[in-house]
Amino acid sequence: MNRYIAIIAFAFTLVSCQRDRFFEDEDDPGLSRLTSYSYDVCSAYVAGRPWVRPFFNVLRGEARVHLQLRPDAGIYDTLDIEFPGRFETEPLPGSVPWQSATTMTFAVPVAKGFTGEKFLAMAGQQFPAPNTQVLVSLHGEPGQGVVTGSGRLYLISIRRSQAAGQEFVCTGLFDGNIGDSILVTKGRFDYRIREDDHNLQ
Amino acid sequence: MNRQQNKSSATEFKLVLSTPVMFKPLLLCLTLATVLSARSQQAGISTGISFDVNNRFGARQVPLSLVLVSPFNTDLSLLVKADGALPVSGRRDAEAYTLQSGFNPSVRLNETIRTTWLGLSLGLRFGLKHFSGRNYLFADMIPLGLGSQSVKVKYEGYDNVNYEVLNPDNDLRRVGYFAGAGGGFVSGPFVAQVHIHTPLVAAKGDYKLNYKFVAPMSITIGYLMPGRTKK
Repeated sequence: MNRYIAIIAFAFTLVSCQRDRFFEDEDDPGLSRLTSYSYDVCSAYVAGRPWVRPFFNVLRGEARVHLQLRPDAGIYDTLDIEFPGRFETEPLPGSVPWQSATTMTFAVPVAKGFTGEKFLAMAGQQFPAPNTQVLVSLHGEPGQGVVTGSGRLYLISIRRSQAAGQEFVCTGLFDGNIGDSILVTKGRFDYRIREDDHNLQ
Repeated sequence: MNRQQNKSSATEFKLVLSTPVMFKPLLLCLTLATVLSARSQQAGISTGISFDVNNRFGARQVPLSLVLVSPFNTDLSLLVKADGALPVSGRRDAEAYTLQSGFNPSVRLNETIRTTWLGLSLGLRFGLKHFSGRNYLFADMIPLGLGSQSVKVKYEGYDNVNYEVLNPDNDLRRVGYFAGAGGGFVSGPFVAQVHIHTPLVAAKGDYKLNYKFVAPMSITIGYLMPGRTKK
């Protein structure tokens, strides 16, 4: 009996194992390819160095992207799109939750009353829209500082996911300029956004 | 008894596990033994055009097929077939995107996919209907073949410095197994035939590709050299 329980437990462990679906772009060494296959990956050159979303291990998988709608006092609210990443030389934050990975946040101004449906309608658009500005912030480890500059974002495709617990699948490009000293170039992402990764209605 | 059964099932399990590794030399030995032991043999060469029925991008190839037929009797022969195919064309549309100002945000481009394949297979040729002279209809059944496919991908017609290709494909080279079937007509020393092969049974890797392994349907005409008989 115990043997069967062990086999079933082992099978569940195998099923729940996650794989790192980082596939390097031959034209841009160190970066992932631009894909729309829900590979849960983002990468960019930050000051010329590859900055890639961390993959922790087969059980915890990769660091996830986060969407946060922030109400603002002006005519726009702000949609924060938070990408996790690290330089290859940095150690993985092994004993802390994935939320502790360093992040790059794009703050996109959106009209009041922004919803999930309006997020879907952003597919194919580039940001900043005219007369607005997208801020990009590079966050260090907890307790370290934040540097901010201007960014650009191209949401190439956004679609609803059919898989349970996942709402959106989005693919795009990004870049940024932080004080002319830190350039973010060739950024690309391909992410599933789960229900608990966003606060959109 | 029980322990013996366990032992024998463990051995079977090991055999099953090692079957793919054993298959390649086994197939080659079987082919060689068949060729050497056949009483009479007829060799043939043929070429024509091959269409890929497993991909939508319309890849075509020029196949070259060498065949050795060793008859058991007038209606049944053993068939050893060596195939090769050189790529002619194969294109699909792809898209590339950029954030650079002053450029179109997206462009369409051509992805050229060129597949070369080689195969060695063993099968049976059935004589279906014999006509006067040396004319007959035949059907081939190829239950087992060992093949190699090499795929080269190239993107053309875009600015690869400023644009990023969405879902790019990569080159691939794989060895695996295939099966096939076909039929044709022999008129004297000449043969006209159609063959279709399954795609390779081989792993493509974790990365999702826009192409599949080629399943060639080849239409060829060829020449069968006069048979020789061993004493």
